Amino acid sequence: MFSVAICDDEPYFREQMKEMLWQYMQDSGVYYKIDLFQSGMELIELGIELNQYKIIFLDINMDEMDGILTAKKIREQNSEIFLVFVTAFVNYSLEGYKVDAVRYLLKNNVNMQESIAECMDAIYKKINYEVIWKEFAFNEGKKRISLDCLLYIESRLHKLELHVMEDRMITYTIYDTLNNMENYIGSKKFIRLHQSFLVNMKYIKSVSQYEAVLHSGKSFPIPKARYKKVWDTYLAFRGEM
Amino acid sequence: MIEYIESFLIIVLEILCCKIFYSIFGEKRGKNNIWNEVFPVVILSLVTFLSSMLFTDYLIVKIIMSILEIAVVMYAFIEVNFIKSLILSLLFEGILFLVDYFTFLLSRTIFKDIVGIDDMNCIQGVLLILLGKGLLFAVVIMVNRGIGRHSKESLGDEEWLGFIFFPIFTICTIAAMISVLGKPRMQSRDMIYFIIAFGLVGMNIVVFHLINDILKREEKIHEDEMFRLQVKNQTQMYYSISENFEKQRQKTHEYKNQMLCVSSLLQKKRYDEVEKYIGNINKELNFELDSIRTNHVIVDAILNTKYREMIEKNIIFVFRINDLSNLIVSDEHIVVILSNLLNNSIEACEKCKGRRVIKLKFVIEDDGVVLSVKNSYESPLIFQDGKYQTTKNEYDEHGIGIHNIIHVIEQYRGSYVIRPDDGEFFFSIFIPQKVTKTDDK
Repeated sequence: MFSVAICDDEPYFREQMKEMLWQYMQDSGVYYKIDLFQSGMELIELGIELNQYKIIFLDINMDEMDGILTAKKIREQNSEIFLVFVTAFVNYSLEGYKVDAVRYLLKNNVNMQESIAECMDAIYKKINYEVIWKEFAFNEGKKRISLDCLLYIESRLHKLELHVMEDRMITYTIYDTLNNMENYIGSKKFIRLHQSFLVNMKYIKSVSQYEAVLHSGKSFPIPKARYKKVWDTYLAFRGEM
Repeated sequence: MIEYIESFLIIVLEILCCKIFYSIFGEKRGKNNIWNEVFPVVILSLVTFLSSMLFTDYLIVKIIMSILEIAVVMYAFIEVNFIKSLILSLLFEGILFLVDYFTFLLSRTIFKDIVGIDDMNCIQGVLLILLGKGLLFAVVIMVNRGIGRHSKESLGDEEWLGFIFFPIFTICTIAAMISVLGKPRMQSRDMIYFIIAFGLVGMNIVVFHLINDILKREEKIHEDEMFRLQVKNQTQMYYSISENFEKQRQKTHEYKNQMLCVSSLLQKKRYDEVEKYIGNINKELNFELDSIRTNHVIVDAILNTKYREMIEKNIIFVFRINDLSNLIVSDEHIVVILSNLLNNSIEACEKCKGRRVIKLKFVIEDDGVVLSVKNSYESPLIFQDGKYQTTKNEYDEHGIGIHNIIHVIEQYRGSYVIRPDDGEFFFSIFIPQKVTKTDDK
């Protein structure tokens, strides 16, 4: 069973949030354990135990330590927890903090209950349908890697080179075809730029006519015939929430 | 005498076809009035008629003369250079001969009992020539269809099929008349046939012009409608902005009063009333104060207005924004894009029976602006001509809305992709931030 944390310094909002989540669980039949926290501090002090939570609802306007700072601290230890900001006012500067929140929920809105349901469903979908970890039988040995850390795969002769970002860039090799690998990975976040390149769109810095450049500076050619399709896919990817 | 009238009328028909043929390749010179329409036809018909009378016995000279005449007169009335006019004239003459030759061959194989086209007294001969002109007209409008410049003005596929019925029907009628003409001829009946056949070919040309006029007018109405809608959206936005400022000013004034009221009620320990009073103020505040701030006045006005509308319509608004103060898209253009996108999504959501969600991403990233809208939709999207059509009439607000959005995106050299995504309608736009805007013509 997943655990959910609610962090708000106003007891009223804490309780309201809990009730709404409870309502959602009854409606959907999916039950989570709910814990309440009065401040960001209390949450952070949990240390390693923080990892038990899959989802944290964070109030932004808290006195002692605000939601943004709390979120940053949480991210320092865990990048997989789903963070949901709850606020009365959404300011442009929020996005700037880059703590990768799934949603910004507006307090006191008449369809708050519906918004929570939408948010929980979206998270549920991410947990269940988005592939994050995959196991590969590399020539260097079996290994499980996070697809988020996989930058690109290059096909060379009869083997594939997987370029993975761990504490430094590491290249693993495996005997397979790129078509098979593309199917195996089965993630919408990867794009076939070229017959012999499968690239994680998250790391693409720019796509211009007939070339894609990664943040690392590495560039890939895009065949003219494939360009329109590549560009449309990339555009759709950028438009995703 | 009748002979002369007949051949003059036939020349007029040819010249009318020729004019349509030319107008495929160039605009009219000067203003769009009746003289510009009629004058070239009259002049050219007269000149061609006279020269063909003069050079009756010299076929080659006659042909060269008529090519030159057409080239010169059309050059004077249509916006093409002389060389092009000459080439077009040659082309037209070529088509004319091909069609005539084809008609002649046809007459040899189908109507074997016919004496010959050169026998002008024979009504069958005249009908055959008219059949040829009918075919010529059909060929010219097919050329028009094939390489016409005005995609919006020209007929759509279905309309075109409807229209082509006229020339085909005419050709069939004339062909039928030729084939049923028996040998024993009566002068009056021949005359009637001639008039009918001539009328049919003439009618074709008239109908063609009428339909073209109607299409032009429709296009004009469509453009006006687009403009009206754009103005409506903008006015609405500016109105809401000024209204908002007014409201906030009022709130500042009211604040002091409210505080006084609350403290006096508290002093008198009338707690129930305080609670009620504050509850009311809160309700108002929630609805009136803006909840989303992007650092861009216009975007804020649109987002907050639409957000309120969504709350009323029980639509969940999920959004991701960042600092939009450096947006290069001009105010009036951002109104077009954002209002139309959100209006369309709200409209689509209203028809949904299940959960209604609109997701908006509007952020400036390193290389440009990413703006995407995803919304639930009930009715399936129709994919046609490489575009998503709305389920409603093409000229409704929705269609025009998308048309306007695309028009603006193209002005900023941006790109977009529209696709259904997992039961949701998805419109994603990217506008490069650094590239300067192209001039809006």
